[in-house]
Amino acid sequence: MRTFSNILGNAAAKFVKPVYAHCDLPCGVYDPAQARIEAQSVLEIMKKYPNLDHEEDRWRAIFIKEQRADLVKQHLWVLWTDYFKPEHAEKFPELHELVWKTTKQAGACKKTVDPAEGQKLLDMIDQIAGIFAATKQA
Amino acid sequence: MLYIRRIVGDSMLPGYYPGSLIVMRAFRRLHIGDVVMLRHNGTEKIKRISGLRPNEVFVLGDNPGSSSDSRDYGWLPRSAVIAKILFPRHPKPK
Repeated sequence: MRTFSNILGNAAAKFVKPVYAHCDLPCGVYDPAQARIEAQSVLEIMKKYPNLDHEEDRWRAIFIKEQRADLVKQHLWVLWTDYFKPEHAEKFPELHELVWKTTKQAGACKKTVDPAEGQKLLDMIDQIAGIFAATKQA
Repeated sequence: MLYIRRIVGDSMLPGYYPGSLIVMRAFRRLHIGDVVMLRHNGTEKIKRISGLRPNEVFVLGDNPGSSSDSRDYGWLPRSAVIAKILFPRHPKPK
């Protein structure tokens, strides 16, 4: 029965009105500060890394840095997909490319311990935060 | 009156799959366990009646981990219910 109605559903998807069975309760709380805090951790770990004497500490530092960089991506994706609206992208045409490049920079920070790369990530997040603040004032 | 709708979302799994078609009809009486289409915040939604008061209904999704329902928005007026399921009918999952 399910297969039958699914086949029909696919065929008629364009013609039949939808009825929603989804979760539509976003909390509505968004802030680029979440991404920034994780990026600060990435940067601080990069700065400390050369001074770590023990192999275990260095291994942990790399592991945590990669986790934090991944969280940066996660927080930015939530902002991008849930907070920013088409009218924001219209007003700030650089938004999409900036978020895309910033998440790529977070990925780049996983591969290096160069603090310059961590600082670059922070600076890019600050640019996104600037757009975010502007949308809040509008 | 009959309503044909296509399900969007997974809050009514495992019985009602996203993309599947359902047929609903106008109703005279509502019962606990009925799957209904209701209008809430300007959107037609499918949920299952979990509680009934004289003029209010409490609705839940069959897949509670992925459902916004009366746990979030509370009791709804009975007038929000547009139709109840005619086909296919799936029992409430245990």
